[in-house]
Amino acid sequence: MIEVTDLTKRYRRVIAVDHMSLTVPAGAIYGLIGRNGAGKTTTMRIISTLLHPTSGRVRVGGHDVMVEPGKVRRLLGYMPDFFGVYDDLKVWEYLDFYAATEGVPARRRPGMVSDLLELVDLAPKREEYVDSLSRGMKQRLCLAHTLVHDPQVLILDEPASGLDPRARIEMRELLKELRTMGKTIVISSHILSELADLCTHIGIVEGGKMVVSGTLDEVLYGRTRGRLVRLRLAPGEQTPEDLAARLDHEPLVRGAAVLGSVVEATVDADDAALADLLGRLVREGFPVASFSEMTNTLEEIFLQATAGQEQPAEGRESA
Amino acid sequence: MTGNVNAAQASTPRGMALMQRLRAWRPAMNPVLGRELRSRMRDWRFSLVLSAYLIGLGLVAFSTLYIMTRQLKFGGVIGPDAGVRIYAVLAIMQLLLIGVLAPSLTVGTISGERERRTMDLLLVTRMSAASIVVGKLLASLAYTVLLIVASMPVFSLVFLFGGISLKQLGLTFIIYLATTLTLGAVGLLASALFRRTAVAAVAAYGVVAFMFAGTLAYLAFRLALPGSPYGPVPPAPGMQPAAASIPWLVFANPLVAMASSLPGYGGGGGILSGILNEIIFRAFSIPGPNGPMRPANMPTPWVAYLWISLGIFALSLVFSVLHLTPVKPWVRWRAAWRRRRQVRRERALARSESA
Repeated sequence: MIEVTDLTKRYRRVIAVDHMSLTVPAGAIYGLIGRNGAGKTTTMRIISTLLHPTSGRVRVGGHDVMVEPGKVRRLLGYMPDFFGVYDDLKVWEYLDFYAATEGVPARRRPGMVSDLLELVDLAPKREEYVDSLSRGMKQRLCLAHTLVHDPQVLILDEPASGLDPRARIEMRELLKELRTMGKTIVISSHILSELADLCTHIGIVEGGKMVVSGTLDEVLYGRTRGRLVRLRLAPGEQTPEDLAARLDHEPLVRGAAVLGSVVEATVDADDAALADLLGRLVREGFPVASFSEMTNTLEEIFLQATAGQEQPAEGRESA
Repeated sequence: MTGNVNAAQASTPRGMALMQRLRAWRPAMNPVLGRELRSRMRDWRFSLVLSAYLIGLGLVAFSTLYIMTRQLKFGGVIGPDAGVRIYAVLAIMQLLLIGVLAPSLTVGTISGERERRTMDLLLVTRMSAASIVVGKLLASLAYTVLLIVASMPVFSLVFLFGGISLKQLGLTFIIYLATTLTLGAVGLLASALFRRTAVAAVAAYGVVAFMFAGTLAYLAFRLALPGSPYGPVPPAPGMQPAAASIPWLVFANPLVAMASSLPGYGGGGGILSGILNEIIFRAFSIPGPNGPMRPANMPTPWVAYLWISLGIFALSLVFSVLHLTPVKPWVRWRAAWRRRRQVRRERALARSESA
């Protein structure tokens, strides 16, 4: 649904996005992770036709954002990281206004506004001024406004930033609901656990470059380096120390350590090689009672992927 | 998502449903215009502006009448031109008020959306930058027209004395309209160019000050040059006058345009328009055999003004729209051209491979 090929955005002296490529299939929830200034907002603004790239190509639903921005806008709803509201409008008027800007005929607007308010749980606030809403409600209202033209694609920049835990959970539930509606969503967030819960795809951005990208499974389990495996033996003549010594001979194993009755090994291997290793150990007579990978959380992966890279150049995130 | 429209409507009380239906009949209006009108009319400051405006204009009408009655005591007469004189003063005062108000109605609209961080939300919608700009301009126009209409009772004072035709009223209104749109467009351009409303306001009022006062200062400069029939050095026979050409800049002055459209144009007239007429006469005079005279090819000032303001209006609008468009048209055209070239190359390559 979204294809970004070799995208580069250069401001006078800084490179905000550096030859980035990513593909978001229809119906996917793509989570963009990266620290401030990594180029997430710039990428999202380019996809939303609000900025033009220095080079590279971005297509949404087959339409080039540079050549046919109008068609792209019809396909997508965009929620910026920082946004304001018209404080002198009532909640329903706010949605009605955006529905009008999207060309929804006046006849259909009242019903649609009710539906959207129902969806984001703001129906009781219908007649109140937007200004009187809490931050979380404003975020939900803004999310509702991206839906007025029933777009297939949603670009959500930090939709849960600055929310208290309860509002954040409500926002997450809402996003899950949108997922079931079949929307293709690109979302950026700082809260990684939230993304792991929600996303089908993950992209880690650092200094304007895509460092790690793929489906959630690929990112979480598909790595071939530095996988942490924990083994436990059934009581018998082989001791954990024997096992650690045996593992140290294995070329794939970077290191093995005994922790009480458990052996922890760091292995550079893909799934097949891991299965093969286990098979060999069993054939050699080690009574392996438990062989499990310590799944790296997204946080660890993020830290590993962005470790050792110097602080990115000053990115103009909200230019 | 919009499947249960009917259910939602049915669940509302009957009065509400009627309201909704009425609302639905409303003809398709520029959404930005609709929102701006709603906000403006909801703002308590509107009634304040309207009151101040009417009080100001009323005071002017009252003072004019007062002067005329005082003149009666000292041997003056209220002649048949009394209505014309009051009308001239009111028309020019209202023009000055529009000069103050019109830019203020647009100067904060685009920079305000930026400051409030709502511009991006608006730009990603189906609305083009042009329709956003037009919506904002129409909203300011509606506001001014409302003020003008509200000032009608003050103007009706003139009809006690008579002497003003409907055609005259129409012409005055056209000059108001042109001024409102031009100054509004200038305000919009400043608002689009400058990120901060305060800076935009300074820039817009700079332009307004130039149109109203700067052009007259330029005229004073011209009149002081040797060769001008009113300068300190009167033109000698055989001298090439330096200031014999028409000072076109003065045509951009709305006050000059208004004065030239009033019945007294060319001589006499009311108090204020008398001064202005004198200015116009001096401005556009060249040395002739029998003293200063009007050049033959000089257009009527208000006609020239309408053309000049149309030019300023169009340029301001075009630049505002261009500045607002996120992906500039030429960037788009270049991208489209590159894509086409790429496709052609790929096709040529495929053909040469298959051959």
